[in-house]
Amino acid sequence: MSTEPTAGALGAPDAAVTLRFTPLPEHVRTARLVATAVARRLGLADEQLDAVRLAVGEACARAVQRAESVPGGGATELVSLRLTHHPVGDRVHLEAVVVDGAGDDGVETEDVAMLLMEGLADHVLVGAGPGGPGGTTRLVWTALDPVA
Amino acid sequence: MDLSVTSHEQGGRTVVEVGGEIDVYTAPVLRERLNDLVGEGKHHLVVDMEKVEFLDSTGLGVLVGGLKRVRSHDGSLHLVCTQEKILKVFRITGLTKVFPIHTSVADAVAASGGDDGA
Repeated sequence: MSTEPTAGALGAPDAAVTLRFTPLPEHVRTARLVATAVARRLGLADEQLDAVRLAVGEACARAVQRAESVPGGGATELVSLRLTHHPVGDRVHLEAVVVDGAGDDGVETEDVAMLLMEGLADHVLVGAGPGGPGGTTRLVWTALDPVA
Repeated sequence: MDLSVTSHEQGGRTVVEVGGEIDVYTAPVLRERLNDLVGEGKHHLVVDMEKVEFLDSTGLGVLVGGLKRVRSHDGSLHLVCTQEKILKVFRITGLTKVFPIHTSVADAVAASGGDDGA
């Protein structure tokens, strides 16, 4: 895990946490714990915290399943989860970007997983990753409301 | 493994108590257990989710698979869940229309045609 600043929307650096993990199902829980810790640090209410935990878990599970489906024993490139946030007035903009190294394996994201991510985050964008199409999942919450 | 699965008979139904986290890592264990039960001739299942702390899409997939399996034997699969964070997962995915969800094991047993002991 590392923390490093990146350019924020208004020039101020976003706070960031990055986790890289071998694409194995058991590490998805670790990724959820990291996302939960970041969300808790932001002071989010339980309901929003649960939404971040579940959506990030879905995105990471998707990356692991894509890696596993690569012929010849699966892809071994580390999956990266990057969480960045910056304040927007009294609220918080949070993004989670999950990138895997799997190529275009023709695996459709499960409808249920997409439904969940779309139901939990404000925006869900699936784009290309370093290995090919579909390797990046971006989850965006535009205005989370800290309670603490 | 952060998942526990135990089962017992109640009112002529098989109650499957699930606890912990059902996710991409643990879901295969639940799938295997449900398959085993159906293989043993238990075709009327009540899955008690009250001790489930986390449920993701792979867990939902296992429950849907279990439902299909018992239905192919003219069986049933009822759920017990009162936790809002778990119910929300069923609601977002529209699966509240697929699964009968009850607030207690006794209600689920009775609704699935078993003997609730009353």
